[in-house]
Amino acid sequence: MSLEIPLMTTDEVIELDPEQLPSGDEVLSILQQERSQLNVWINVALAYYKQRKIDDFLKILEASRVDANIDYRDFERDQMRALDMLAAYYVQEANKEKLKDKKKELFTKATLLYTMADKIIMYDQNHLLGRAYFCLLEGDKMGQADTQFNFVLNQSPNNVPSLLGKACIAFNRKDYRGALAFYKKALRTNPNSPAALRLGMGHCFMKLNNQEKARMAFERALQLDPQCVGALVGLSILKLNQQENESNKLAVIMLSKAYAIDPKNPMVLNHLANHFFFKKAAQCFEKVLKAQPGNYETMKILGSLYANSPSQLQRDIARQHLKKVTEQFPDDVNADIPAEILNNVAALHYRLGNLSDAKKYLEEALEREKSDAESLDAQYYNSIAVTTMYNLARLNEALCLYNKAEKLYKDILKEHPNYIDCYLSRNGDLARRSNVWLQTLHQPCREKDREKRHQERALAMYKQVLKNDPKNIWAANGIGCVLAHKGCINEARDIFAQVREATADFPDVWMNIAHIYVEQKQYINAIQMYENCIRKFRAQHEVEWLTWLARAQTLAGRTNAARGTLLRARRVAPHEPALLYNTALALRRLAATVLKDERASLGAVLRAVHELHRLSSGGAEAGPGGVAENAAVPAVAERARIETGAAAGEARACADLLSQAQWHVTRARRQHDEELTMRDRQREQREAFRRQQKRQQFKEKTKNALLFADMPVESKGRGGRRRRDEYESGSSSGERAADGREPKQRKRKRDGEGKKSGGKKKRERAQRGSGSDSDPPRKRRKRPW
Amino acid sequence: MSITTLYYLLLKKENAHEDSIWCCGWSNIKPEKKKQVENEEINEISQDSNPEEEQSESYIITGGLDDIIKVWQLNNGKLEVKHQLEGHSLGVISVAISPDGKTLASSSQDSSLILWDIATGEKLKTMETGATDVWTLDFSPDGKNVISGSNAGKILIFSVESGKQEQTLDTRGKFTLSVAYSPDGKYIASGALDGIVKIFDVVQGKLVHTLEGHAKPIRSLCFSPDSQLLLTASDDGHMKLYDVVHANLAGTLSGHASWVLSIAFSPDGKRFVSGSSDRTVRVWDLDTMQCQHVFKEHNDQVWGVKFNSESNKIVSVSEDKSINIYDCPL
Repeated sequence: MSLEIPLMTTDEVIELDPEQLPSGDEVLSILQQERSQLNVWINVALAYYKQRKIDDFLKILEASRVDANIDYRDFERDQMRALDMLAAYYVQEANKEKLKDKKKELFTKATLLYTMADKIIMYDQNHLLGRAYFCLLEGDKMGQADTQFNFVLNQSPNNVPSLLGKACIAFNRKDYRGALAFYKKALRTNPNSPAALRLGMGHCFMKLNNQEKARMAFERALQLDPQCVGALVGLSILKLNQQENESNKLAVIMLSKAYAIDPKNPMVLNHLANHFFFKKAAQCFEKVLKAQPGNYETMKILGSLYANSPSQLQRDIARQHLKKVTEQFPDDVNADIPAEILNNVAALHYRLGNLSDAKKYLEEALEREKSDAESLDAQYYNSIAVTTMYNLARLNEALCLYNKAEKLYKDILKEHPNYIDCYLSRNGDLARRSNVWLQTLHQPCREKDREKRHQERALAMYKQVLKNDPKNIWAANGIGCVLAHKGCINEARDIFAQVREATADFPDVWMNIAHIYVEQKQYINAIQMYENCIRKFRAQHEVEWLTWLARAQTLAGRTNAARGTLLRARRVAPHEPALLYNTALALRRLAATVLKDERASLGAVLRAVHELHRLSSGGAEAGPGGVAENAAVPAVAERARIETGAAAGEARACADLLSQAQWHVTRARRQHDEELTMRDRQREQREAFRRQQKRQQFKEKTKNALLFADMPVESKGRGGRRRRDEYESGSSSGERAADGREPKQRKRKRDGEGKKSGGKKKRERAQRGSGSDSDPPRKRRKRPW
Repeated sequence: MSITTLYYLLLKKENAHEDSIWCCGWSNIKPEKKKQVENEEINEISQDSNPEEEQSESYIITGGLDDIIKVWQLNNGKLEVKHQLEGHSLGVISVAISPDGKTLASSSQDSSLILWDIATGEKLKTMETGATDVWTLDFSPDGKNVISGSNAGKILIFSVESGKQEQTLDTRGKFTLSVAYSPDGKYIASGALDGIVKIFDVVQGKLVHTLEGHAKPIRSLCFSPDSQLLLTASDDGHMKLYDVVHANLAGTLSGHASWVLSIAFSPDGKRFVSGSSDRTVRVWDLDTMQCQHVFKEHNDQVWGVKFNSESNKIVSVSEDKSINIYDCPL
């Protein structure tokens, strides 16, 4: 069948052969010139799509939205088709896309198009289907998709795409029988269904444990579409399940074929991985079987699989399959699960954070390895036992059981002095200590001797590690820490910079660089580094980090920023006595600077004093409270006591500052009042001057009206609106002045509630108040307000 | 269920405050009767003074680290500042609005608690708090009391009339981060730093239930409008629904990737909204216990969320200094 583009002026048409399409741009320009109807555009685009000329397809469809002629009956239907087609394409692309951002972008595009289409004909069946599939693929919207399929099925009970969708949903909900029923219904309606349908049926049969029928379904699917990866995988699983050498080989061939068709298909990769474990298991069980030629290949693929699958999902699938393997194996192999599988299961659990599960598996694996080593191949099992032991040690470390971990590391090292990872982990342990030291640089360090010893040892070990593995960033980071510890700040900074170039994915490096900046007194850089780190790792509620940031800000003299940072931290952790203490400290510093600043405004001084007062009383209270709470744990009690001591000292310092504050407040108030008086006086002068001027003008004006020579003042005063307005504005500026005093009055009152010094101030105020009675009368008029 | 997504961002006010915004409220002052049964006085007044139908006044209130409380009004799709209330220091922690919508209670880190008149912006009273930390606030349904959490685990009950602390309920627990008064006036619930929720009988002044559903701090909790359910939000990223009378767990809601900082029921009781450190705002359906929509409009943690009185709009405030208002049709 050929495509026809009708020409505008005549009855002729341009014919296109869908097998040999001209270049997309050419056709596009014809379409634009001839103002072709939208349905022509769509058909042409579709033809390009079928020829896999995706770019042209996209170009034509995108252009059709603007340029196509929609001046005919039922054009909406075609509009819908265009939008849905484009959206469906994007959804399909998104589903293939592995990169999260790109995927999201494509999904957004599709959403936009669908929403646009919604506005045209919302209940168009094809549109509903498109949307439903979109929901399915987008994940976690299965319910929504289901509703839409139901909607379509209600209208036309034999709609194949809806049936397939329903089947898919049923399958995902583990209702395999239901899924099968939907597939069968779809098949009855349309016996020429594509391979995917058979594939789905095959999966259902698999789940229902009907292996024979599953095999038939997969084979039929493969007949229909020799490139069908899913069918290849399904068949190979069936072969693998037979657990015979010959069938295993066949399975590997099929999987390899699938891998060749789609190297990124997670199913294929996982089954290859699975197969690898299987093979390994079979090997162990039979012992005699040497590595097969295909084994190396699988191993490589397995390696690349793990290396390339940082995604949670893939690991999750891998874990599930592994678990299945271990679950299936006990029955098959007389409960003799190979140690390697246990080890691998544990490793996956560890990656997923199920530490206790991981430990269980590892311990089991270790036991099995020990027993196997005695009865079977000693050398082989001893070597994997080391790996398991190492994993166990790592796990112990993760569980914070450092003593156990260290013992295991030492055991391994006793037997295998070349096991570098061990050194590394032990170094990590030491490095952590130096890290801790670095972080708490400003706190008194009691274990100086021990630290020094560790430091030397850690440095030596890092060097050894780096010699063996020059690219190990953890070791480099550790060296940086030790160097910083030893005071070689510049060298440490260089190392950290290098580490950060290698990776910016772990916060320690960022923090270390920031710490170094602080040490070098480059506070601005430090602040930037801390802030970036907090933003990047979304740790706005990490109290410890906020405290470091505040420390840097304080050191940089940005006391106001430090105040904000600490208050932010306190918003998150109002109960922390240390934080309260730090806040008090910061506020005291802030108050000290404000008070010292001769030009500070009265408002700022009063605020500083108020906050200081609030914190000092709060701090003194929180101190003992903290002790009472912590005393239950003896080890913490000492620290708490130090804190209380410090808090008490801080409270004293606050009190000192407060007593000084008295003077500062008086000073600031005097200054403030002086300013006000000055401003008042100036204003009065201005006013007087203006009034005089007015009067002058007025006089001149009235010169002409001699008749009313005596009256003018009064008539102006009452009748002349303008004059009155002027008076008002004059007094309203006075009011503003009084307003300026208003908040101060309020603040002072609050002070007065809090402490005695306020009382004294109040008296002062009263005195001055009586003094101000001699001010011009309009001020007194304002008083009641 | 409709297919299209009907939820959308109605408006975004950037830099609404100079620094992080930590709390928000949505007040509705009704001049005429009809829906509100409690405010008989106002109804009478409005009937006397204004027989024709009068629009109810709606205000959005926000407060944060810059110590200023702002009272906003939503006019023609724009958010305009009506009043700026000054008097707090060290950051405004919480705002609570009286059931008649007229009075605002606010607390700050300097442990001051202030009452304001929302319509005029006047300061009504400064509560006598002493040295104990006040934290998040709530009004009693009769509007006569304000309750607050505090550092020693006590729930402080203040009288609006006298401005004094009248009573305390001791949770014997850790820092009380969140409190809620049930709309029927029977219960007070509190959420603590260690994840323990306690429910008190107000009349008897006695602890009736202790709920240990969370292991991490509870920064927000609220009752359903019919007082049958209690919703709690925790740093563990989950929310839990309890049946108040029997203290049975009715459900757990997961979806937030980080701390849940604020939750609020819609006044019609059909939905609730949550804000989290993961920067999202989520709307949940009570019947199905499913998340209906996720708003990803903030670029820092979301400290406060609230429904309006018609249950069709949501306000959210964030560390990113912006206020968002969403349209959420029924």
